[in-house]
Amino acid sequence: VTPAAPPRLARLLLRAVLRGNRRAEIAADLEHLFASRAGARGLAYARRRYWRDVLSFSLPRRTRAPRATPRRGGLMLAALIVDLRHLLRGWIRRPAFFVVAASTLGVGFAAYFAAFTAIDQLLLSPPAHVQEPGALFRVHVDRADGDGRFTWYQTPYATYRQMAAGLRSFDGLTGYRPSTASLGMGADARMLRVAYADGNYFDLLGVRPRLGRFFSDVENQPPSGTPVLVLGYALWQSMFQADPEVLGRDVRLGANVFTVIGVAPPGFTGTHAGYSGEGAEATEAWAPLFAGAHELPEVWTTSQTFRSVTVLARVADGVGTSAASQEAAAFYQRTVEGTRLEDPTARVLLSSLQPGRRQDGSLTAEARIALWLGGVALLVLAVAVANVVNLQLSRATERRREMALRLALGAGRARLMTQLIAEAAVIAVAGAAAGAGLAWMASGALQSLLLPGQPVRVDVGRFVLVSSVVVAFCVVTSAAFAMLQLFDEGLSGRLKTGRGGDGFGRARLRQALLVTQVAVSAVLLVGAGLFVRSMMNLGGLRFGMDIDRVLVVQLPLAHAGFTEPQIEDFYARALESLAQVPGVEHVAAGQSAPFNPSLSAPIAIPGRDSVDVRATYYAVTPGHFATMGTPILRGRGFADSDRDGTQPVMIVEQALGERLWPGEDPIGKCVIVGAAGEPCREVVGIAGNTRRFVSTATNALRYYLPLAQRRVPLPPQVLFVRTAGPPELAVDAVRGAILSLGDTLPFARIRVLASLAEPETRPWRLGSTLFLAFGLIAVFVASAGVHALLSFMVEQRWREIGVRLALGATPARTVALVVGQSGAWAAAGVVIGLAVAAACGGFVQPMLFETSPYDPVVFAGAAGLLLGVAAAASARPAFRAGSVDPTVALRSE
Amino acid sequence: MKGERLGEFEELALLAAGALGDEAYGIAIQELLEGQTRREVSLGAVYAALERMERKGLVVSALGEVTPERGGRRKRLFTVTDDGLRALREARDTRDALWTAARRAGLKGRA
Repeated sequence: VTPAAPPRLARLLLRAVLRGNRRAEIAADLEHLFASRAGARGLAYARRRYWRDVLSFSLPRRTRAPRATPRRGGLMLAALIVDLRHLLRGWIRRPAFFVVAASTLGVGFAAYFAAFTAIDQLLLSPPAHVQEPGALFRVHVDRADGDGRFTWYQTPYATYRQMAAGLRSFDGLTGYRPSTASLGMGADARMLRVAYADGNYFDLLGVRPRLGRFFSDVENQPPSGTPVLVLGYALWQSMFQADPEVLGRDVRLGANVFTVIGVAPPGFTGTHAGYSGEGAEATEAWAPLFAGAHELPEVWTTSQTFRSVTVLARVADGVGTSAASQEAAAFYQRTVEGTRLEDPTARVLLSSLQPGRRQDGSLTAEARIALWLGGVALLVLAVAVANVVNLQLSRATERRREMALRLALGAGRARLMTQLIAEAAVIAVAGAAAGAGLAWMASGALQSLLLPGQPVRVDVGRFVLVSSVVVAFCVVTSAAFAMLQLFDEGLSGRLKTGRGGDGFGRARLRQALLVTQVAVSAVLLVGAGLFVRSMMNLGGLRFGMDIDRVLVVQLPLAHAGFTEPQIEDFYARALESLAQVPGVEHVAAGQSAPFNPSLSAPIAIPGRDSVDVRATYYAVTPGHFATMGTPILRGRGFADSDRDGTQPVMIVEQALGERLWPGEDPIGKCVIVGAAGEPCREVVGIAGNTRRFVSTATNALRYYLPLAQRRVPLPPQVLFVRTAGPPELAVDAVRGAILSLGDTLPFARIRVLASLAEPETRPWRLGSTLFLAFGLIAVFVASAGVHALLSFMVEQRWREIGVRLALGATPARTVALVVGQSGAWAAAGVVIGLAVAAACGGFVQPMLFETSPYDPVVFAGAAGLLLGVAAAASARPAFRAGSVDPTVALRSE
Repeated sequence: MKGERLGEFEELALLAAGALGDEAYGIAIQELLEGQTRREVSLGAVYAALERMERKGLVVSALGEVTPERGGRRKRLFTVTDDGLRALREARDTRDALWTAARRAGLKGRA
């Protein structure tokens, strides 16, 4: 009985490297040795020695007797194998070269693959599981709107039905409406992103259920359909533990009970990615369109203006997209002919379902950033390739004598070229292998940044295709450069030259490459710096509100079946109850929250013909200003006495007051809000200016109305809670207070006010994170390049340095020579890089936030960092140069 | 000069083969070398040296008797040839000559 066998992998390796009798013979020897060693010194020792023995048969030997000439056809291959062995031996002796080349290339590959997979998913890949996605489009009506035009993302249900019935260029149309619902009630409630879809939705897309079935027209009958629910795969996994018995279960969505009838396939998350606002994230469940009718006003099926449905259409075989959109436009114009919506200029836009495109076909911020990254990653990869080329060139110089000797001895140039190509190929493949794992992780991270809430998906076929192209590119470029250098100066002269025939001034190509690397790094660092500055400017934005001190509480009460009086009552009780929570300083309610869409109404001033001012308003409870931390500069805030039946009042922000009554006191002035004939509102106070959107473009002038005197009969939508300490700590207490108000409450969404601004600041945050990451990668790769090239140069100039020292140069001067050389390259690269960055300023400007693309701090910072890195990279080679012993160096030839 | 000079490892392996006489097969040589040099010696290195020397004609090999501990497989026995013996002697003579010269020069180690 053998207690243990030699390592399996080692045995397989041995079988692979040995042939015939010899194999059996040596295998038996090694088994014998293994058994005796295991007995004498333990299993671990025996295993280690077994591995060593096997490797001693597998690795190439230093010297070998010449072999018999191989068959003619095998000549090239045999030569190549010999060359590769030669290469491998060289690398084993000096692993630094191989490690630096392969690892920088690996990092470059990883950066490129990660960016590519992001672009792939945002712009190249359609939603998963959709059949023939190329023929499927979003349908948007683009109409005249005042002086300009407006593209409507949603379509009135009636128009959608007319188009579905009348259009001939399409195989079919379908519609859906994304919404949120509260899943469960009370303490167990959570928010669910649900899409209410027409009966043919899944059919038209061509998606098949993972489990059970999808709903159809039978369940989607007016007025309120059948409450059935299709679960998304992720929801099924997380909430229902992938229970196959889930079919037939009842699930509470708001006020209604839905029956689960099916589960969507993994990765199918609806068709709403790329839309802004609610619903852009992955859809978690689907229900029939009419089963969601309770959320809509009654006129939704008949109104020509209530736009509720997102329409998708499949263009028929053999019909062009433009012909289809023309037919749809003509059809749409006929349906509105003679009504007040008549518009002979109306167009119908068909836009693709790619998540990286907006409804009008333009790129989303994420897609634009992904494309930028693709370009940037290509630069980083170019830097890495330049590194490999540089290292190979250094070696080629070092090996000139060897090459020349081999040429003189009759080796063909073809053979030398083969060797160089083989070398480049081995490095590129090793780099790609090293980078692939890294790339896989990096692309996961990148996708979750760019497409939050969407499952990570990588198209393996495309991934392989692109990586092969990139690897081939690297091989060809680096081999070509190496050969160029090798042959351009005439080899015969090289025989006479010893080691170090190549001075600092000669290796122009290598230096040019190095300077380019530094320049690219400088460009990337400037980009990163500009985004970081944008972020800092965003962080320093003054909102006129304490956005870090306020919690925003939102509950979809209307969707949960609450009537308006019930909602009013709930908010009244909630304000009382929340005020009692320890740590809560002030509470308020309102119709809308900052950073969300706000209400607006035309304003007029008695005695003036027209007021050319657009302003938005917020209807709030008296506690609003104290809760938000917005000061009342003059006059008074709202009071409980400002209610229905008393004198209508309003508060204007300072900017609006100055605009309406320049140089006058707004207090006591009279404004008509809404249609003429409404009562005059008296301005009772002036509030400090606030910024309720991050971007300046969407910021308007503002005024406030008391919620009790609101214009639109819309119940309160949102609660604001100001806390004494960090608001995050109060979330549980606030939720507890809300839950104590009723057993049938839907899910309460509680967020810090600052987080509502996040969708707006996302592009800058993404930009700064990603540019910084890529910039640092480029700096790393470039510094590895500087270090490697300097090391080789010091090595090559060993003798020259020795001569200098022997002639009286001090070690300090030698060190200065090396550091100075590195500094000169870095300085040249920095100057070029900064110039390029400055030239690109115009392109970058729109992506920045209140930051000049020529920000001197950023430019100086990038330059300083790169010069510092170059100095650090030259430390080791400089030290080596300083410690050259002239007597040794001079004898070395 | 006919043939090549022996490398250090070749010399040791050749001597070990000579020392083992009729028992000079791969493992035995490897174990002897490892015992004497107190270094780990891999079997591959031993085979490589022996096969190289076989091509130079310094050793010959033949398949030996079946032994029970090898599971009935035969083992390759190496025998030092006359050329091998000559090479060993040359190596020893070189060393001896150098030793004599070194001693005459008063070779002493330094701490």
